[in-house]
Amino acid sequence: MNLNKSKFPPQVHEKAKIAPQLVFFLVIGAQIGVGILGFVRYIAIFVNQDSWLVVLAGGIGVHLIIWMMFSILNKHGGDIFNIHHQFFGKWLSIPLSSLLSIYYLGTAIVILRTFIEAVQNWMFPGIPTWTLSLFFAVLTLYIVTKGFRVITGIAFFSFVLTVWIVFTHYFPIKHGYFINLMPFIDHKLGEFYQAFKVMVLSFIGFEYLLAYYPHIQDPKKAQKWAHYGSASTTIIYLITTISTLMYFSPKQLQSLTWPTLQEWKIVTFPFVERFEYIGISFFCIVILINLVLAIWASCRALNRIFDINIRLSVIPVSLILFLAPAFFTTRFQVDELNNYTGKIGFYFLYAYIPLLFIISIFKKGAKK
Amino acid sequence: MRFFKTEKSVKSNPAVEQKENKHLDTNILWQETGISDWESGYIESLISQERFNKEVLRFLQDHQQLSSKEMFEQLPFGNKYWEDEPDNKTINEMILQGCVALKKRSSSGMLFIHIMKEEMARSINVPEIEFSVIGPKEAFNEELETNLLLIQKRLPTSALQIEFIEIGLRTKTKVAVLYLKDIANEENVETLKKRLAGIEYDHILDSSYLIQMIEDNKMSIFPQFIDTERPDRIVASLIEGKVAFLTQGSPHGVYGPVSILEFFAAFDDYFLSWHIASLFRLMRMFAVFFSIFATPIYVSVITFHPELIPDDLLSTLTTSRTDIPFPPVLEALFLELTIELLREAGARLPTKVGQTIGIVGGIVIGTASVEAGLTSNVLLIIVSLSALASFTTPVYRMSNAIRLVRFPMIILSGFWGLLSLALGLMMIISHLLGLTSLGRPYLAPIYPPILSDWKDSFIRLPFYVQKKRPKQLMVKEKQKMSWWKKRDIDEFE
Amino acid sequence: MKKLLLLFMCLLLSACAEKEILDDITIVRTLGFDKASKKNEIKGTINYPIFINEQTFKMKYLTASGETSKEIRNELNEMTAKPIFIGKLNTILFSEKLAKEGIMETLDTLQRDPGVGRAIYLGITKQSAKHILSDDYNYTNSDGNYFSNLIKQNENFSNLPLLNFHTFLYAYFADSMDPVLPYLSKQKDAVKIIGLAIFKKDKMVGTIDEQQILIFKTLFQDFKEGSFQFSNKAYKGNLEILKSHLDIKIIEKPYKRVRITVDVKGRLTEYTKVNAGDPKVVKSIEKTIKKELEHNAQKLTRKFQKLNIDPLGIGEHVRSQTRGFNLKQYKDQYQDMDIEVVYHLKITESGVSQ
Repeated sequence: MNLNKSKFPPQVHEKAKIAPQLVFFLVIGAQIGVGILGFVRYIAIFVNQDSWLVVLAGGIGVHLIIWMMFSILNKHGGDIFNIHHQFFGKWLSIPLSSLLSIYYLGTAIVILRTFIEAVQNWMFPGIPTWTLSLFFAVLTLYIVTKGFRVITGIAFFSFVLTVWIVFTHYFPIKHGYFINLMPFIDHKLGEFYQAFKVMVLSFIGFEYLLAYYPHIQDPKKAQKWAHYGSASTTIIYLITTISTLMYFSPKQLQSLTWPTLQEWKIVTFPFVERFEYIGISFFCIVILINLVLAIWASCRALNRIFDINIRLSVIPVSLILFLAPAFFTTRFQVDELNNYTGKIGFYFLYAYIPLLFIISIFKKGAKK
Repeated sequence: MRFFKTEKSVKSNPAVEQKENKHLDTNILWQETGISDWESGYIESLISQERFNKEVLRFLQDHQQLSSKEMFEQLPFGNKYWEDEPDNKTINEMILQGCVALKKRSSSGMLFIHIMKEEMARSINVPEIEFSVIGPKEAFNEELETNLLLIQKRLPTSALQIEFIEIGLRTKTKVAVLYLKDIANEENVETLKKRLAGIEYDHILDSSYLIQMIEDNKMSIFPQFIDTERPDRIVASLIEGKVAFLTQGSPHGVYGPVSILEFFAAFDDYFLSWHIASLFRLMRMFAVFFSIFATPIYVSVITFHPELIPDDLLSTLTTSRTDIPFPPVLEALFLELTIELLREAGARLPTKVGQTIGIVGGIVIGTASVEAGLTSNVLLIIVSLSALASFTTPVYRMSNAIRLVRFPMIILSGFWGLLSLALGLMMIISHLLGLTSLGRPYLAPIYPPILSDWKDSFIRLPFYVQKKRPKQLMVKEKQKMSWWKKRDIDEFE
Repeated sequence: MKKLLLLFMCLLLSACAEKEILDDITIVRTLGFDKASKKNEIKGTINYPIFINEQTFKMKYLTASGETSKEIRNELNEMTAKPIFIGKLNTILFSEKLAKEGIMETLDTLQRDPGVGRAIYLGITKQSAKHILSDDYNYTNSDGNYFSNLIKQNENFSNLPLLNFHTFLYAYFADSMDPVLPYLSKQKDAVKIIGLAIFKKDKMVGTIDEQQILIFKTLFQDFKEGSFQFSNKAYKGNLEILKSHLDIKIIEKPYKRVRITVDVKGRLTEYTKVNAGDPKVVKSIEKTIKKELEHNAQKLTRKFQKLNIDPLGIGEHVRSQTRGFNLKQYKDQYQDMDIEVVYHLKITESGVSQ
């Protein structure tokens, strides 16, 4: 174990690096997760017909944070772990980076547990939690050991294979009522703020950037693509929000747990009915990239702090991913889990990163 | 036959070597020629007796006064070789390659002349596996010499490099590595040569031995090289900047690096108009997906998600399955195995009998098993269609791989239906993402996405659009065509 | 290692999800609910196909009663050879008697069941649901799709507004909107849509008769197909509607006057005793139809106000046009609100021949 590893800027082999354009897929792949199946309900509690505005604001907020991240990383070079070391010294940086690693792992668990919850509610009521988590954990292990290039490939394919699902929103919009979006902006600022806080959970995922930044070939060029990625996420969320709001009456929306799945119930094609089963199945792919990136980032953190090989550390980490979801058994617990992660994510993005940003302004940049 | 005096390119088995070195090969016939004190040594079955008598012996007769060194200098043969003090090993090696050894009893120097018997090689035939309606109809045969001729004839350029390596501790098979010096990426060439040279194996009987030994991921069921019997295909790949190799005794040339999409491109595609070629390619890609996923989707829908079935199909599907004792997974596996059996039986039997088996199997067994209530007719249709679809893949190795991938998918679909099928799809994709061919990404124009290479991937755009060589190969010279001008008839007036 | 692998295989096999193999389930196509003779109990009827061979199959029905629909389902399961599967359910029928006492209790269970679709149809039957489901209508209902196809066909190509499970729930949960459902009745060898059943939340409070379905549709949604029978002392005819557009606006705030504007484009397909080629005549016909439409529409809105229900969702429109909407105040004023209906009619062509 070499506790001093994060002192040095990260070394990534040229062959293991990815083209800057691919950051687009990494950002969008990590942001869109199981949250899209239900987030509208949680923000509609506070702002109802103005939910789309919150989504828009959330998206803009993400752009701001991405900008901050890139200016920190560009200035000081390397990744967050090196920056921790630069800013806080060796002994403070170890717990901070470890917390970050745990946070990354935590997001993976939340995503997996929530998805399994959806499967248990909608597809296979009797299915034990551990079976699905085993399958996902093994697949994640397999992919993470293959390295970051393959992970980016998974992000790419998960986007290509699932982006068409956006078009299924045509059906609820066709059958929906536009009047549900009116009157515009009829809520107090406090309500918007509360909704905004809830919305953060759906947007988290782009912070893995802090870990994979050194894996990008020309990181400065990648910023543009990271922005495009999160803009696309925002657009997809906007479409989802608008279709959900139009399709359900406000109180009906509150009675549902997974509005998007409900919407899919009316999507029919001549050759297939009841699209929600196909939708959930395809969401496996969306979930997988979430998990893979989170687990990779977590292991990468361990690698940078304690100098443990990723191929080695991924085994215990994915074991945790396999075991942890089974501890949350009820719907209520899953909801709580989501709440806490959302809160941590909110403070991480909107307090910790601005803090780092401010420090970075006053700190000297890395030597070229 | 080209005569090789190869440098020691092969590490040989030391035990074998020692034995070889001690004695002269017992098959060598040593005898006096009867002309001054010349004695000769050769293996009767290897050399051309006629040439030996008519050319070599006559020359000796006419120039009896010459010393052996002078004789070597004056002998009118191209393939001759002089050794001052040969050890047994060299003598064995030379004679086993088809030389005649000549030695004056009085001197220690030995001279070798290569006059191997002209082999009765198969003539150049029409390609059987990669037959095309339009286009050249020459195929490789087992003779490396002929095969090289077929390529050199099409590529009269000094840039064409042919390098020989001898592989196989016992078979000493000659392998020719081909590439175009000014185009091919050096790294690819080096990788291939290094891998070939690193092989230590007793016998190499065909290029497919080599393919399996130099693949990047030997555990993968997906082929990472393309072997073809068409010389024109090898030439096209060389010009694209790939590296190829030909093996003595194998009617297949091999080239790489390849990407997965090339396995679905028949060489015909370049002979047909680009619209039709593109349509065919897309159809083949669709066929692959259909072949892998049709049966598993049927199984998962019937087993877990009857909700998905449209009203109009409900009665057809239900009635076709009533009275069938097996669960859909087993039923599908059973049928798939039957189809594989038929295919295997057809492949093992002589062509004419094989066809009969196909017909008997397909019609009689199929109908009978449906009537007996062992299988549902809808599944029968799906399984045979997906078998048919798997045969559209032009590269034999790939179509085998696709047939094999189907089985784990069917088993997976028995767990959680579409859910596990989606995970299975991701398993395949993550495996493919990790694959490389000669160190280059296997999924290349798709991922990493290189849009400019898509002109000749899923579809084939017209030639004038394809001005550049594929970027994924990292070739030295990128431009394929320096100009292209549309000329109207009026311009010639 | 081998043992571990074996253990792993066993685990995986136990991980298999619950199977619902197509031919091992009872595919319920229609559900019917009636009031049972016992108090607090309801009677459920399922209608499902029995496949005999490729071409022939028969619809069977089974009835059981219980306090909740879960109970009924269990009862029925005890009677069928294969487990009941409601994933392919396409119609749910309620008898008028039951509907008058409220249907949400029954529907709630179905609503929570992820297997039940949302594009399925609901209907209220004049007779008991069992009576309707027990007939095979001279094999018209041989595939179990009769009821759903009947409603679907009428919604798409005729006067019936677009109503299904989702629209029912939408209206039920909405603050100021009430559901409407098709009203069916058995007549000899067929089932006929004889009107619309109107609800106050989940309790049926009245009906709209057959002639007024179209009027209701024009007030309820935009659509592209429908036909209207009109008559006058002098002539009689049929107006085929090509396009109808609805617009609801508050004229006087707060919650005092609302105007419903309907733009109708249509053509005359059947008419007697007039020369429809004459623009003057067409103008007068237009006037007659407009008057009739407006008169009927007014009758409908007044009826709704009297029953204090809002099937048209006027309240939803009002909410969307009012900042700081006060639901309670609106509800108090609803019955006295002035609802104007204006039709703009345009007859584009008249039949094929002049």
